[in-house]
Amino acid sequence: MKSKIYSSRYMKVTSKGLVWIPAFVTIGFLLAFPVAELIMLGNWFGMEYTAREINALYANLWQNGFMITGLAVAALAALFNGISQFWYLYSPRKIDFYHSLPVKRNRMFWYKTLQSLLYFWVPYLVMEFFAICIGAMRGFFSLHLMKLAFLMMVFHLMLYLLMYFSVVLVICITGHLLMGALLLVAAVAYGPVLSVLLDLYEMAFYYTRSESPYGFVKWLKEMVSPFTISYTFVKKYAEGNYGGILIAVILVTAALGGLGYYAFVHRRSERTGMAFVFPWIGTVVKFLIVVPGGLGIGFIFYMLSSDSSRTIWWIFGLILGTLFAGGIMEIIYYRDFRRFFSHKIQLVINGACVALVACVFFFDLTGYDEYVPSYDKIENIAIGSVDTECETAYNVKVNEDGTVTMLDSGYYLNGDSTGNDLGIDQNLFDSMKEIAKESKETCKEIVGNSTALWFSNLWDPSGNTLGLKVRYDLKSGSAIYRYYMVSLDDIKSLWKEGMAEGTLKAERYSILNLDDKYVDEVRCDFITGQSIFLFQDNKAKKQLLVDAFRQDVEEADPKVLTGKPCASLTIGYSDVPSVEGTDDMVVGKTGDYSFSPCFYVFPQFKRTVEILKETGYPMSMDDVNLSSVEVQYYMNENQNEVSSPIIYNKPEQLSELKKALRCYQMVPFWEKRELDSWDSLKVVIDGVESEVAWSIMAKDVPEFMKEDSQRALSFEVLDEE
Amino acid sequence: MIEVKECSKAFGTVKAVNKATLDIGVREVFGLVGSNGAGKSTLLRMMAGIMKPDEGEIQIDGMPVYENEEAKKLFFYISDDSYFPANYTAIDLVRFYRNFYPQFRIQLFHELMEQFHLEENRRITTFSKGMKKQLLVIIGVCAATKYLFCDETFDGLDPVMRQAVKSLFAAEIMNREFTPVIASHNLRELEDICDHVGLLHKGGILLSKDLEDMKFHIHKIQCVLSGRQQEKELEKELQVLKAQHQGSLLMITARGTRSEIMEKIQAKNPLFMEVLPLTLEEIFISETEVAGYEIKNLF
Repeated sequence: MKSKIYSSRYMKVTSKGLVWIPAFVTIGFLLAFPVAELIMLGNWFGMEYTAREINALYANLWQNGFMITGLAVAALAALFNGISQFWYLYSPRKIDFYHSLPVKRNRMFWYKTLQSLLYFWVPYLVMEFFAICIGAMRGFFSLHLMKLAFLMMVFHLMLYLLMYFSVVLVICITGHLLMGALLLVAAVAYGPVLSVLLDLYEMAFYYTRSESPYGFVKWLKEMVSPFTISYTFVKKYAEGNYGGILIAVILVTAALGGLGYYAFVHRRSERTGMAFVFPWIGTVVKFLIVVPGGLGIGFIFYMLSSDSSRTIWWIFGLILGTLFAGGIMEIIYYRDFRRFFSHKIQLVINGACVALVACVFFFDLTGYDEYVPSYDKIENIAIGSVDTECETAYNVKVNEDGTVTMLDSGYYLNGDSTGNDLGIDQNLFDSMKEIAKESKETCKEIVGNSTALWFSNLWDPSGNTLGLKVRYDLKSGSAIYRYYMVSLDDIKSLWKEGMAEGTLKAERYSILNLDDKYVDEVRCDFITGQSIFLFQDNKAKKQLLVDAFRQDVEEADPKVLTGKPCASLTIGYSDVPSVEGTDDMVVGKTGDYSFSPCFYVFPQFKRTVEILKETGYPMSMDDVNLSSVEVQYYMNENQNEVSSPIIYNKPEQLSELKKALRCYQMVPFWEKRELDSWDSLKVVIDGVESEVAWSIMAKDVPEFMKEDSQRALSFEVLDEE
Repeated sequence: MIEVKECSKAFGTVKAVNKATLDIGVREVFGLVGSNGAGKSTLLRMMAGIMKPDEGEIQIDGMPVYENEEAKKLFFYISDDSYFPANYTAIDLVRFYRNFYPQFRIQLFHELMEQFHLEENRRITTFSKGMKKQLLVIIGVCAATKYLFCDETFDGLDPVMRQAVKSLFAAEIMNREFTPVIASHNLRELEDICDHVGLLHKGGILLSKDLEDMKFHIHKIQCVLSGRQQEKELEKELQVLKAQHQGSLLMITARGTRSEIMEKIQAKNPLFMEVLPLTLEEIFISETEVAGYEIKNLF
C-alpha cells in the first residue's frame, strides 16, 4: 500500500508553517486584480471616456494590464513556493528526515508541485473571481471578457509553472544555499546580460552593426531567462501575436519540469554541501560564466581607456577577467580561498575560448561587416529614413470600402522607426553588395585616428557619406540589420534602383491612391522657400493639382525622381476612415486619419508645374530676381570667429550664385551641401531678405566664394568688400 | 532480516564504507559500534534508503531498500541530528508520520507520552535534546515497523531513560517482530541493551557477534596459585588472551566456557579464585586483538 501523501489530511499537516505563502499570494492577487481594477475604472470614468472606449480599455486590462500585474505576483509565488518546497535539499538532516520516509521521490516531487500549485491557484481563482464580479457590477460582462479571463488564468498558470520549475531545477542541481542563490540569479539574468555584452562588443568592434539587437542577441535577451521569456510572452499576447511563443513557453516549461524531476529523483543525497549535485554541471556553468566574465571585464578596461592603448588594456582586461572569473568560481564552488587556481586545465580552456571570441570580434573572423545574405535568400531590402530627408511619405493601403490601413514600413518592423522597402532585384542586390563592400573602408576613413568607442552609427562631418540603415528581409522570415556609411553617389544610385524596381515608388507614393475627396489643403514650398497654401477656396483646383501630380509621378522614371526638385507639395488629407486603432490609449478604437505627405516636384512634372506656374511664383532659380547674397565667413578652424559680412551683388556673381543656391528643404538627401565655410548666408530676393535657410550646393560653389573663404581664414581684411 | 552485502560508499576520495557485509536478524537489539568516522551513520543512512551504495546491495526482508516504498515501510529511522518541521508539536509530527505508517499505534503513543512525561501539544522546538530523542523513540516504536534504526539515539539520554527505553524495546521484542538497530560510538552505552554487536572500523565490519556468545566464551579470573610453575602450566592449558600479576594475584583473561576454565584452575589447587564480570569494552579488546587490531586504534 502506498503512502497517503495525496490525501487532504497530509496536505493539511504539511501546510503547517507554509500558510504564509497562500496568504501572501492572496494579498498579491488582491492588489494585482481587484484593487488595480478599481483604480483603473475610477481613472477612466474620471477621464470621461465614452462607454465604448471604456469597454475597449476594460478588455485591454484583461489582455494586458492584469497579465503584467499577475505575472509579477506569479513570479514571486513561484520563487517562494519553489524555495519553500525544495530548499530542504540543502540540509543533510532534513534530507535524512524526508528521504527516509517510505515514499518514492517521484511521488514526493509531484506532491510538492501539486501543493505549491494549489498555493498559487486557489488565491488566484478567488481574486480573479472578485475582479470579474467587480467588473460585472460596473457593467462589464461578456463572453469575450470571460474568454479573456479564462485565457489569462491558463497563461498565468503556465508561466507560474515555468518559473516554478526553473527555481526547482536550480535547487535540485545545486548543493548549498549560496550556489543555489547565485545560480538562480544567473538563470534569470544570464541571457539578458550576455545579450548586452555581445551587443557592446558588436558596437565596439563592428563598423556596420545597426542600432537595436536582433537575431541571436535578441533571442538571448528575450528568451533565455524564465522571467524575460514570460514577459515576452505577456507582451506578445497583448499584441495578439503569441502562437509561436506559446509553443516555446510550453516546451520550455515541459523541459524545465522534466529536468527538475530528473534532478530531484536522481539527486545523490551525499552531494549536499557541494556546489553542484551533478559535478559535470559545475564544469559547464563555470565555462558559461568564466568566458563572458573574461570578456566583460576585458570590455570594462576597453572602455576605461580612451587612447590608442585601448586594445592593450582590453587584452590585459581579458586575461585578468578570465583569471579572476575562474578563480572566483573556484572559490564559490569550494568555499575555500586557497582553491583560486585549482583546475588549471579548465582555466586554460576557458581562456582559449575567451581569446577565440575576442579574435572573432577584433579580426571580424565571421565577416560580419561585409556580410550580405545571398540573393536567393532575400525577399526584400528595406532602408531606414535618412536624417537629411525632407520628404514625408506614408505607406498605406486603400481598402475596397474606402478605408485605409497603415502598412508598417518601419525599419525595425515594429513601427518605431520609419523607412522604405526597396524590394529586390539583381541590380539592387549588386548595389547593396558594393555598398557593403565599401562601407568598412569608408568607416575606417571616417574613424581615422579618433578614439570613438562605438563604430556603429557613425556620422561623417564632411557630409560626403551618409549613414544608411539597411534591413534584409529573408525568405526564412528572419531579418538582418546593418548600418552602412554610403557615398552620396551610391545612395542616389541605390534610390534610383529602388525606384526602378517598383516597390519603393509604389510604397512611397501610395498615399496618392486616396480618393481626392479627402484632400483638405495643398501647400507648396516654392524654390524661393516661400510656403503658400494653394487654391484655398477652390477645391476642384486643388483636386486637379493632386491629380496632375499623381499622373506626373506615375509617368516619372527613376532618373526624374532622383533629379533636382523645383518645389515641394504638401497635400493635406483629413477624415480618412481607418480600420485600425488610432489611439494608443484605447486599444481597438478606430477613427479617422489625417495625413500630410510632402513630395518634391521635379521640373519634368509638366502638368504639376503648369498649374503651379499659374500662382506666379518662380519654378526655377532663373526666374528669381536675386538682389544680393550676404556671407559671413569663419576666420579660423575652430569656427569661433567670423568675418564682417561680404555682400555679393554683382550680376556675374549673382548669376553664378543662382546655380549654386538652393533653398534648404529643396536639397534631396543624395545631394551635398557645402558645409562649414560660413557662419551665415543671407539671401535677398526682390530687395527683401529671405526668411528661409539657404544652402550652397557643394559641386557649384563659385570660385569667388572659395577665395573669400580662404582669405577669411588667413585673416586678410575683408571690410573693403 | 537485513542483509548488507559487500556494500561500499565513498565521499570523494574518502571511503566511508568499504565492502561492508552484515546480517541483522529479527527480534534482537543490534548494536553498530565504531569510533567517530568509522562509517556507522553512512551505513545506517544507506540501510534507511537515504543514500544509494556505490557498490553492493542492501536488502530488507529480501527487498532492495533504495527507492522502495514497501521496503522502507518496514523501518523507522531516527537520525543523529533529527529535524522537526517548523512549528510542529509532537501530535503534529504523529499526524505527519501516520500518513506513511498506516499501522501507527496512536493509543500506545498517548500512553507512552504520558509515561515519559512528554506533552503532546507542545512545540517540539521547545523540547530538550533528550526529550526530542525520547519523542522519536516513542514515535519509532509506535510506528509499528519491524525495524527501528537509531543513530546515536542514546547519546543524551540519562540512565533512567535509557533503562526505560531498554524496557520499551524488550517489551516490543516480546510482543512482536521488532529489531532495533542502534549505532553508537560508546560501547558502555550499548552494553546493557544490545544482543548482537557489529564493529565497524574504517568503513569495514571488523566483527559481528552475539554479545552473550562473546560473554560465554571469554572470562576474566583472578586467582592466587601456590607456585610459579603452576602459573606457567595453567597459561599453557588455557587459551589465555591476557595475564598479569598484581602482587601475588594473577589476573587472567581467557577463552573458554566458565566450567572449562574453572575446572582447569581448580586442578591447580588455587589458594584463592574468583570469576569477574567482563565489560563489553574488555570483550572487544580481546576480540579485536585476536583479529589483529590494537584496540587503542579503534576507540
